[in-house]
Amino acid sequence: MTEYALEVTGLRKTYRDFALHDVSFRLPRGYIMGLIGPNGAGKTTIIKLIMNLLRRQGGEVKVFGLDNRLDEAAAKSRIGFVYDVPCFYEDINLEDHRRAIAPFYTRWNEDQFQGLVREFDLPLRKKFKALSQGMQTKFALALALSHDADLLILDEPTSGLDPVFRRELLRRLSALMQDERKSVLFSTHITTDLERIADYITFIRDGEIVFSASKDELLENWGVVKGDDSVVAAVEPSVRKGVRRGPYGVQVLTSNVNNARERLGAGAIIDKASLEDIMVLMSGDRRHAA
Amino acid sequence: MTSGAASQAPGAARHAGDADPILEIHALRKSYGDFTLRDASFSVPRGYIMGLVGPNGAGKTTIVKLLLNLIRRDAGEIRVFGLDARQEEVAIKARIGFVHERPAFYEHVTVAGMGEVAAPFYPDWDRALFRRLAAEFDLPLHKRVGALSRGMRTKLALALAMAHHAELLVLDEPTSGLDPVFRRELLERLSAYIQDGKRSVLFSTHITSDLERIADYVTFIREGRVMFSTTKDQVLERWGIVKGGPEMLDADTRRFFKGVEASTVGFTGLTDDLEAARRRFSGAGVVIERASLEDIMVYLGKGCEATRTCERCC
Amino acid sequence: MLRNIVRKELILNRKALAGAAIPYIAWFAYVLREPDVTAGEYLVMSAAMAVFYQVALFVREGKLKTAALTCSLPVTRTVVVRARYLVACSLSASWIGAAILLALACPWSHVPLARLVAPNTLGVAVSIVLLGTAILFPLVVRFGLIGVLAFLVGMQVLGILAFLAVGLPGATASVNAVLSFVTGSIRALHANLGHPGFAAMWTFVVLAIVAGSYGLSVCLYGRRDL
Repeated sequence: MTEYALEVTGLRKTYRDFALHDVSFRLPRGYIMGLIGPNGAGKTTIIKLIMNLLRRQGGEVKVFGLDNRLDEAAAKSRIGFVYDVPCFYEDINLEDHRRAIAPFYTRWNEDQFQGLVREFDLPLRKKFKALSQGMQTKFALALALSHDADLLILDEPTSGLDPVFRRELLRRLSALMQDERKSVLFSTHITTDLERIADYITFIRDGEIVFSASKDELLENWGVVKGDDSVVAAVEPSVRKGVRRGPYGVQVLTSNVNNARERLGAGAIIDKASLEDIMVLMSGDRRHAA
Repeated sequence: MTSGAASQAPGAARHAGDADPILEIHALRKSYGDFTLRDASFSVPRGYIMGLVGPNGAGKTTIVKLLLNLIRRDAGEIRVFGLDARQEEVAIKARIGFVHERPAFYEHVTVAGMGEVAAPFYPDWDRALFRRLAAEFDLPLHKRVGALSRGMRTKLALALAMAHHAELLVLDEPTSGLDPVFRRELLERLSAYIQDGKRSVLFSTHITSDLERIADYVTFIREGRVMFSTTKDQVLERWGIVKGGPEMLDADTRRFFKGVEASTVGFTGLTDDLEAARRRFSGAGVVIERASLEDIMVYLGKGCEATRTCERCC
Repeated sequence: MLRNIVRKELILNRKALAGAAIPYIAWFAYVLREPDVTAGEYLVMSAAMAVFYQVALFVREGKLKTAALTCSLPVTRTVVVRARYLVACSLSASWIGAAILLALACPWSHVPLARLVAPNTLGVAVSIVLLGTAILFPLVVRFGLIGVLAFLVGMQVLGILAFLAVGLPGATASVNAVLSFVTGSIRALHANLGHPGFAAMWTFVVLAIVAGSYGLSVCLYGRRDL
């Protein structure tokens, strides 16, 4: 039994105006990893490469120890997927989709599926295009959750969903994780969701992994120092992860809050960094508040 | 956390809102087969940002569509800039900038081309402004719309909406699919947009934390009814969450809450009267805190199902 | 795996395929009324149309952007291509069968039935289907809908050129030469299929071409970024 649900090593993919270089990270079994990054950073590209929808130019992807190209079907039989863009047949109804898709999975659980259909209130007889965006995502989720998948790959599954359903989904994912064999890779912009349930966070920017670390460690040790320009120098360069200058002052992101407290003293304004803070402050020189 | 411009005392940096609101909705009603929007009323004052929140299917998009006269209302009134939404449709639309949930464009047209497509419709179209916005939003002018990612499409829709100096920006889920970096910038821009006190923004979103950041007013819709429409500060002051042990929950206390979620280890209740809750539930082991907009949305949903008495909420 | 994909294609494309049946049947019912349509022409026409309908499978995927679904299920791309060739060829066979049944059923049919079911005629029809599929599939896999359109438009352009060429001196002879070469080949094929030796060799050739096309399609589809 391999200890990693997903191992990505040295993944490379080049386009005309964008490239993924040397992307490596690992998701241990039984954990949830959140994938965050600005638009266009490469999150969807990475997911597509994992699912072998795109041809990689270098690197390796292993799902439960199986190579995603050499053992493609075996690997995919254990993956439940939800993509950010719907991939279903518009003019066909949900029931027909189920009939076409279910047989591919040996561990398909029809009772589970029907239960989810009831819970999500999915109209099985309606055509896919008649569903609202949220419903379409729920359908994809129902399918992904009905074949006892050991790895769930979710690309922006919550962006069309209201907080009520989002919380339900997060709750469901947490419950799923009680079974220590299950793992989840979850790409999203709604960082508050990840703060709630992720174990690991991988941050991608411009096609490169900036960090892949434990969420608890991030939220405990990273902080935002606020003040005027002087605070920038006060934070050691090795832990200074980002600076943002705005109309209200300067914010400096540090990966070592304690160190910052020591150096700046009691009067310093140092807040815990949320994932969103980290993303915004590490977004680099591209963005400056007016 | 740094707050946006709106966290300064509302009105301090801009003129006090004009007496006439930029948008007024009164007793609006629309029926579909399995859904009815009924008796919806609220107004958006000039110079402010109003957020529209509610679960999926609550009626937010319906209201926006009625506003733009894309669907016919069954009853009620909609006045935009003091004009009737149906009769003065063209005049109104020239002054509104609209961003749809999933912007639909001509895929083969370039960014600059979309600007040219939109321009003739708006007497106040500002081409220089459009180009500046495109540059600020990182949208290459020569790139085809079909090649843009979802986030970039939304940015384009925004640039188009802002480029004709619209007095009212209406945004339907503008931030879904956008990364936090841009979301923050978008919110900052929206805040800046209303600084002159003459323009307003109405936007509906699921990402309640965005609303909490910049909205001055919040209108909450559920199952076709406007539950409340008031200043954000009032919402955050009045609504609260009470968490306690299971033994504290009985029929009496249940009725106090607008929504309750109970389990064997305890309960969480939503109340719209934080003061009363503090008086009633003081004691050890009880946590009483302000409710976030998300909490309100989630737990109000549990109100009707749990108690099955829908006098006030449905 | 193969069975699953075949079933998936049939279920999820069912409306598109069924929708094509109506104009197909209407058209051929109409054609049957023409007094001077030979059995050969009738079958060749039905074969040609059958080919294009089958190509619809791949094309639809591009249009509806459902490739991500197909290739995220536990399948390999090779098997996907295999399933589609299989479905295409068998459905084509049934289109031709339908055309024949139509000829049997329609009271106003002028097409001589005996010739219709003669092995040579059927052989030609099946050959056209298989060769047509073999040519078009790799095009579609590589270029999608555009590929098919380009092909159709290309044929039409050739036709227009031929039509215009009639005006030019000397050109008529060349155009006629090309046209008679094509019709002559089909006739020759038709005649020779009667001989078992030739038929066997021809079957081998056609299958080899289809196999080559299949290999090419697998390669192209495998490389595609979806």
